[in-house]
Amino acid sequence: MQDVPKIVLKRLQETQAAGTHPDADLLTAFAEQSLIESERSRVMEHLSRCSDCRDVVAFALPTTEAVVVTASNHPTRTAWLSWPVLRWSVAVAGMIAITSLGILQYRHRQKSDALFSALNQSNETAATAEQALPPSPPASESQAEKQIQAQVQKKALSSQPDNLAMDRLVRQPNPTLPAASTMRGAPSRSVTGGARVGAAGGAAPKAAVSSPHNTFAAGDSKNATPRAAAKSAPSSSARHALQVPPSSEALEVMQSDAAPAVGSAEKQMEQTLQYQYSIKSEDSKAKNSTTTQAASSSASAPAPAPPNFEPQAALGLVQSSSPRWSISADGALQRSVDAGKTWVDVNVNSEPMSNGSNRAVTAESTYGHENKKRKVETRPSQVFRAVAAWDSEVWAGGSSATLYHSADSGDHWTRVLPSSSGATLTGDIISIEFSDSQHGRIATSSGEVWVTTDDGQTWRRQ
Amino acid sequence: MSADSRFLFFYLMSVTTPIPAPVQSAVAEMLTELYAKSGCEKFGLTSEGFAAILCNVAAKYLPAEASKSEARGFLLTLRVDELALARACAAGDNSAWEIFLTRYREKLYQAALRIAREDSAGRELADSLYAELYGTTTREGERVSKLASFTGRGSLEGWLRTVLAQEFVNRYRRTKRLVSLDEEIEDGAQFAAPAQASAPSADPRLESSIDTALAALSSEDRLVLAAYYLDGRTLAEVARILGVHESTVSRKLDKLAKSLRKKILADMIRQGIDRQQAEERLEVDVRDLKVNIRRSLGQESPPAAFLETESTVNLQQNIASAGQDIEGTKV
Repeated sequence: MQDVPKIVLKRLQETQAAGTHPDADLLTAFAEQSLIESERSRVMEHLSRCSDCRDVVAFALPTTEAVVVTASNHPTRTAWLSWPVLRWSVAVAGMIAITSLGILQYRHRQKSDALFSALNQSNETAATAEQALPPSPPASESQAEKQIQAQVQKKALSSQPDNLAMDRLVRQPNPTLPAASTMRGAPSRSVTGGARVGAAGGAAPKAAVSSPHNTFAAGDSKNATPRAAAKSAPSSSARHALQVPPSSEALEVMQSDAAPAVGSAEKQMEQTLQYQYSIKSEDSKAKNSTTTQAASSSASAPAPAPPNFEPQAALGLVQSSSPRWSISADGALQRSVDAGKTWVDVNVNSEPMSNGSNRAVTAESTYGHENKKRKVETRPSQVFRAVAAWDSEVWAGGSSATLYHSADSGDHWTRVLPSSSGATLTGDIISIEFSDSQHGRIATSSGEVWVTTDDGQTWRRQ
Repeated sequence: MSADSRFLFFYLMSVTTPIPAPVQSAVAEMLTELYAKSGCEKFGLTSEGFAAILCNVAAKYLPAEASKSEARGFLLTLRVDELALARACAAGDNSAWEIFLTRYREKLYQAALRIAREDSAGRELADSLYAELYGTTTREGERVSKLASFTGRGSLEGWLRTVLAQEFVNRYRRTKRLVSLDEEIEDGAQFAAPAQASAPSADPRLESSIDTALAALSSEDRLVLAAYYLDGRTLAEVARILGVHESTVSRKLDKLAKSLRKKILADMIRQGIDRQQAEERLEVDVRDLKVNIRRSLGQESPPAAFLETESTVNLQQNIASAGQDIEGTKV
């Protein structure tokens, strides 16, 4: 706005008002625009010369209009777009984004959990199951006792009695099977190599790898893949481990399981063999090797199949949705209810659990490993070496003749001390295997082998 | 209303203040309507008394030569309800006071606070006005309320604010002005006097040109100029004083500044001053304006009693400086 010269303002100021000041009524009426024209011009003339009256009029302006004018001067729209407001909105938007991301992640996890259980139920193909391989428990390098676990579960199809596991156990190589030949060509002839076959699944019949137990076994191995497990395991000790624990009787049991399946083709047997090898690399204690066997009920899904039934038919043999079991590297008993995705320590001493839920294995359920370690620290004396499960029947054994049995998938545990004719089981249990819910055998570090034929009611030392 | 009483009433009115005949007849014609509108009955105000009030108000503002129709139009613009309330209060009617207090007491204090811009000063301002409204001042043993002077030209609320503003300007603003001038003097503005002597502002041709240009302006234009440049009012305030939009004031100011300069320069050139010289003289020193303020203040009425001693000193100083200025301008 152009400025008026000071000298002009000076002259303007010097023109003093003539006559008396308008009274309060007139000034009020002037400000309220309610004067008639002649009066208004008179008052205006006076105001143009009288600063006091101008001040009076200005002071007497109502407040309400001031608010309106102020509001029009500063529209609220611009206030909303001003930086101080935007700054906060940015922060709020960030928080919302993070929250929604978290919710999405949580839902995704739940969804994948459901997917895994669905996989369990519907017997997905081996490829799918392989994708679902859980992350292996971390290897604790500082551990003096390095255990390599390789759990192999195989379905022994009736049309393929000489699948790889059987082949290795009974040393009856069947050159006709591609899987077997593949394995034979493998550099490692250890049983852990069997795990490779079980998980690799490409060459083997799908039935052999389709079982969730199979994937569990593969995933439970110390290393990320069964192949790696096979590599890392000293083949000699592995072979040694293979030779020692499985007694002829166990092999016979397996054979007897497989044989009728071959004979009667209409009854498909899905046999799950879990081999768990705990190898002490330091002292090469082959006796540590444990072989557990958990086979799903063969009768659970009998399918009318031709003698030469398709591998897909075996897929119909569904593994039960029972939890999977494992021994961690530091000897803790672990259970997974989500197809091996997450593992939770099971405390056999705190049993029975308050509820029978499979999921509520322990109050200290955790995804991480910290809890696991803490748990081990609290009960260092109890180190598990072997676990075997058949449906809801779970057997877990470890150091100092520790043997626990659960008939309800690990919710309730009872300690069992096998004894017969005055003798009791001594030493560390290094191997537990059950061919079915009734027949099982336990091998100890002291070379003892105990067998039961009545679900652990009675034991017999061999 | 009997004819006798009416006669007596008009007689009395004519005795106290001369009421023009057209006004009397207009009031008489519209009395019933206005009386009903005002709600005087609630406050025990008789129609005769109300007619007297109306006559007084009309006589005060209407020119003596106003016609009857003008008087009627004037009466219609009055806020008779508030007029009745104020006058009833002035007469000491309790119900009227009750209404007045509930309606205006809070607003009065708020307005005083806003005008004084300070809590204690605002409260004091409002309290002093309150005393005047209630009528503590006595004249000839009678209590006279300030509300008796309310005529209903504007709203009662606006009138109260105006009265407050008048009181504030009379009591506070002058003292503040003195204080600020003292500060100016301390700041050394006073010692700039030697420069004034050389100020070439005392060209009578320049002043006459300016006065001519200013006189040519309408009173509204001068009011806008004075309020904005001299009083330091904001555009919004000026706009509200005049009841126009802010942008109108802004445009008007811009136009005024341009046209004033052009007119003054043209007038000076006409008087025989060449353009460049005229422009130079127009940009006269700022100090003249300050000096002018000081001088005009010295001419004002004495400030409040409690500033007596200080103010006399100030006045002396002001007069002295004003004398210097006059000398300076003469030189």
